[in-house]
Amino acid sequence: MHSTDQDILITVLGGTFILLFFALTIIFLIMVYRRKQREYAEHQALMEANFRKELLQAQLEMQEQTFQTLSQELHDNIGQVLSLAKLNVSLIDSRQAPQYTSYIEQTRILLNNAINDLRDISKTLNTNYIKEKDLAESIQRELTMLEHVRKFETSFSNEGTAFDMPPDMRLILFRIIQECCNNVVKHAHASHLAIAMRSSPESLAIEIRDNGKGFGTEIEKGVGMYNMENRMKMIKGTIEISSEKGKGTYIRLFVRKEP
Amino acid sequence: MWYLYISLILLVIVLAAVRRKYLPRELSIIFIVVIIALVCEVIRYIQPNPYITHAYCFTELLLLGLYYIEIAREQRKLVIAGLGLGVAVELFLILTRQGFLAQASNIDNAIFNVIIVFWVIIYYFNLIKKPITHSITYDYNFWINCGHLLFYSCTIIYFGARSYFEDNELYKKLSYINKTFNLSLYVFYLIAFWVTKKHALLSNPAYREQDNKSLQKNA
Repeated sequence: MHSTDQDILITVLGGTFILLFFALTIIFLIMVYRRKQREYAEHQALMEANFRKELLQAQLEMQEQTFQTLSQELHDNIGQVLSLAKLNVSLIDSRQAPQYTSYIEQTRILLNNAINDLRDISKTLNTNYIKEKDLAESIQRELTMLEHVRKFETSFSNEGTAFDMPPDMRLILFRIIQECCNNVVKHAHASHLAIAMRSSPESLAIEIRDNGKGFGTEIEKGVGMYNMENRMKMIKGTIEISSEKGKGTYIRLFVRKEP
Repeated sequence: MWYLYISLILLVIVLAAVRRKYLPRELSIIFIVVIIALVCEVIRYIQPNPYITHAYCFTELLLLGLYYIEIAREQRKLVIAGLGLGVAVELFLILTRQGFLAQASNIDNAIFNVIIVFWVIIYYFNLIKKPITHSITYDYNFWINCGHLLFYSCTIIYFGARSYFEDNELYKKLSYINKTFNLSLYVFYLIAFWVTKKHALLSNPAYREQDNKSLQKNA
């Protein structure tokens, strides 16, 4: 081989190897950089999700604290005042003024109703009470209260075997059901509200159905709906909402037992 | 080696045909480049012809220019400038060097390679600025550009200096540089066409959510 050929060979091979080295370095660096970027993005997303979860948790705790205080105030103050009023009314001797007997009797009945309603409201607001009591019992009480206060027709069915759930899950589910009932009262213009609970040791499904005006797809999700979805996510459950204009609304809550 | 090379090109074409419903516009351009490469290689194998080589290199530059306009829309002016330079160089060489198209000289090829490497760098620059949606291993453009960077940068010197060893025994030895990097280019093309399906699935938000959930579950 001539020395010129050797020079060409060395130049071409050497130059190609240097370029190959640079090309491989660029590819390697880009791969590493993108992997780091991805890890960082995943970390950010995780932190954001945790932050949202903690925020929701704090909101719920604050709400529960407010409910608890309200429940105690209703029970200890207004409840006591009403009980005292009832006691005073019962001390009035109707024989002294027979013309007022019917008024006194009516007042006694009204006070009795007020005390009972107040007790129910106090119970539905009391966090510890809901956590301790059976979910079906709490739902039944809520519906009875709706019937009394709002003159609603309600129905409740509970089928299947018991689904054992932690107290926090019970509380969250009950608050979601309460939110649904409030929405029906406020927006649905419904006359009938039905709640059906189907449970097994593995899962629990709660269906809430009303015969109100319903809503189409044009209605945007409100804060209440987002809250319900987020609360269901917290207990790893799902919420399914379907509604059609003039055909009422159907909501299905579903939770599965944690493996 | 020629048969291995042709088999690889055929494999790329078959895979691209199988994945045709997942092929975006930019990959369709690469698919056309591969088909043209196959036709030219077969013609050159039957009858070596410098005209075909020059025509192929020029067509390849134009098609790759279209490909880079497609994937680097923000820097399309730079890509068009590169195309303009390529056309100017080709015209200049045809007009100033008598019988240039009949010669086996590859100086135009070397300049085209520099232009393509410049486009690859533009693509990579854009890539690192882009927000992450999924792993880079499922990005077909990344693999195509890996192939381009390796082939077009590592053959610049070979094509640039080819006229010095065209009729000499060195040609046989050094032509392995071109052949090896050509093989690597089609291997990268093969990977790119292979990941198109996964890329299309990952671009679907519903699938992505499901995929993220399964990843979280595995973690």
